[in-house]
Amino acid sequence: MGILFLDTHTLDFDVTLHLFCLDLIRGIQYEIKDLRYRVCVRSSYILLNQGGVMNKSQLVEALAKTENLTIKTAEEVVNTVFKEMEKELVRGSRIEIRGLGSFKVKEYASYNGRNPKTGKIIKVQGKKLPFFKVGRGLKEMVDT
Amino acid sequence: MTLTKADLTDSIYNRLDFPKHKSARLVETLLEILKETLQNGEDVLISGFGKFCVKEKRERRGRNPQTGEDMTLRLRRVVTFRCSGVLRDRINEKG
Repeated sequence: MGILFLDTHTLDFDVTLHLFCLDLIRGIQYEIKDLRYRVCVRSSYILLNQGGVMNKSQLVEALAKTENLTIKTAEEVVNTVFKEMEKELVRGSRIEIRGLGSFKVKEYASYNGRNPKTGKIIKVQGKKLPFFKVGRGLKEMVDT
Repeated sequence: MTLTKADLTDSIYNRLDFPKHKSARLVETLLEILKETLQNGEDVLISGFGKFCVKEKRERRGRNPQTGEDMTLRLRRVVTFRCSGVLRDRINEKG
């Protein structure tokens, strides 16, 4: 088992990561000392992840690596996709992505609520919220 | 009208200088990464849009509402979506 020293602030972080990947391919196992990181090995790339959440820039990076794009181009692709989805929801229409799921804007009527601290009755304004329904493909992928 | 994968492909095709088939592949890859990440049990946070969360549901006793039959819902993992505040305000025309 090898020990990997990771310092994301150094310039040779990419080099370290590259060597690390080569080791993984050779079948050498690593113990992750810093528990803030999780190593996620996927079909085409390896990602060091902090705390089990992937954010947009990591998604951009993963797309760039998988498709051999520059970060800037990958970023534009990601932004375009989510902007397009946002525009559709603002318009109030549906989104249906096969394998992922569908989005629909639900309208909630206004109701009389209570301030839990003071017990005062207040009127809660009606609102619209997007509702996501998981598609069958993703549902089965996640639940195994 | 419903937004589909084809519309997303078109928007990439129009915005970036990629041919149609490449645009379609990029959309496909992006969704694949998103799904694989969720499959690994990680959440995906898209700032300004929302967060896809993976939640572990405990085993519980439920009832089939159609037949009234008692049944046990096993331990399972589900995906939920939490809308970002920015998107919520835009949808409600505040932003």
